[in-house]
Amino acid sequence: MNLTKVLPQNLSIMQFSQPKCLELSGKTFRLAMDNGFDTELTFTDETCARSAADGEPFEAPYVCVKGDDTTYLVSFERDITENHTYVLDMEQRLVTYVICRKGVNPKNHHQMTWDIAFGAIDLPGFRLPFKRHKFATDHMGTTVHWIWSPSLDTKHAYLEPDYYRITWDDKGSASEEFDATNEKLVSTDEAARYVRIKDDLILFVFSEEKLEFFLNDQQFFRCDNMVLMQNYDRMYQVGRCFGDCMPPEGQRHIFGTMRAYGEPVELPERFLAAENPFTV
Amino acid sequence: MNKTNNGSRYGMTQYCSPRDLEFSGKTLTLSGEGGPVTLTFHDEKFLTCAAGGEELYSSYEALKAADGAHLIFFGTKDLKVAVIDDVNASAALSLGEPGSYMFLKIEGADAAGAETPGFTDEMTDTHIRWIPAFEKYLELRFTAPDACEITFSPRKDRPRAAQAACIRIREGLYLTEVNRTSPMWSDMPQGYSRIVLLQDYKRLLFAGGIYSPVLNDLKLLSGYGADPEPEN
Repeated sequence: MNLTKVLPQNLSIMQFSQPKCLELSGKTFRLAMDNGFDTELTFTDETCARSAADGEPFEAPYVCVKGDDTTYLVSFERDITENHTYVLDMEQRLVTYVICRKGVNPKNHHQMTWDIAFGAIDLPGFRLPFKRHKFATDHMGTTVHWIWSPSLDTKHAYLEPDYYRITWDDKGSASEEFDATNEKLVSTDEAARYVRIKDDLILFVFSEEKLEFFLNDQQFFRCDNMVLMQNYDRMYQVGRCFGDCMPPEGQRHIFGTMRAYGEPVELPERFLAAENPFTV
Repeated sequence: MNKTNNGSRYGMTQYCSPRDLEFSGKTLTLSGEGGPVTLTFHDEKFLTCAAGGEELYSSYEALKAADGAHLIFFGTKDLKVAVIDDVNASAALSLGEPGSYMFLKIEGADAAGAETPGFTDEMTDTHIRWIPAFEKYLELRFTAPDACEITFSPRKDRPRAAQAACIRIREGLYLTEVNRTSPMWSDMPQGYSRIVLLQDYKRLLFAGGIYSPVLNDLKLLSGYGADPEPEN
């Protein structure tokens, strides 16, 4: 029996997800946040309990993946409209926090807001670190080919600190699934932010909000938000997606992890030099 | 600044996942034929393996290949291998000759399943390319329950027949050990002849290690799989 033909699942962008990391199980972290809303996270194998001054305490199942040996991305939902994601950097005792909310835009309940906050991990007996993760610009000009599954790969260009640009080959499932809708857009630029975690480890956050704004119910995915740790030393990225999709049977919530393997790629100058039509 | 790289710094180990530190501070007691064996993980770097009245204190390296599936390497003068399956509370352990394994259960562990790992013929006829780095691969064609043909990139012209230990850990998850040197000018570092791969055929992912008996040195690998014979 050729197992390569028989066993693989077709999980699209989630195919190569890193196995769930349980290394934080049994641990509690106090996070001193620069926005003043200090937080406590307590992990079991199954759940993360969050208490903080900026909301009611709650406990929820979590996902956890690692960007390197000591940097964890954990994510969980208060409900299907509110996601909390933390990058816990044990080496430097720093934290970056991303909160995403759906249903807050009165014109389109699929549109999402997302905010990023910085802080430090408060260990008893130690002074708080004064350094912080920071918004990153030093990788502008990076182009990379991301392989998400045997049939799905995309090519990214990071050209501006608050946008990213995507393309793909004419063959493959990205072309099959997205060409029809993508060709209605004036460009593939999407709002994004980048955070430097450490050398060669960058947090990449984006939402498909331009897609949603222009195409809304003409498309399958509805303003999904991705938070990915990109390891440019090892050339992979890991993270989570959060949002909704619209299969024929009705709206479905999306929350899960993914990983992609990276390759260097050269992209055409006409793609890289094209104007971003969404900015002045 | 374009931050991408082609893996020249790490070679075959480029895509290697972060280390699996889940066992730090834990003790596993394994029972069954050949047991008992106790693995005491003192911290994130060192363990003690107690088996047959002897204790071995050594460093260890671990990778997670799938949910609840851990591949652990340790040893001082040669390589020992352990696969721990949390789903079935089971273990495959190689403490002796390369390719020889014993199959044990973890005492006192809650498990959703009851499968015990064992040698299998299910891999026969499987053909897979494992990609641990940009443009580098190991291609395996399993020709019998205990044999395969292995190709080391980029030497497509030099496939090599080899003995292979093929072990089913659980559905979709298989351990393979191949003992074979690579030809000159291949991407595999020369002399790393003990190749141990824990393979998830549902997600097409693997974690593994390559070991040089001469240097007593281990390199960790992981990456993704591709079908060398795609239908389209």
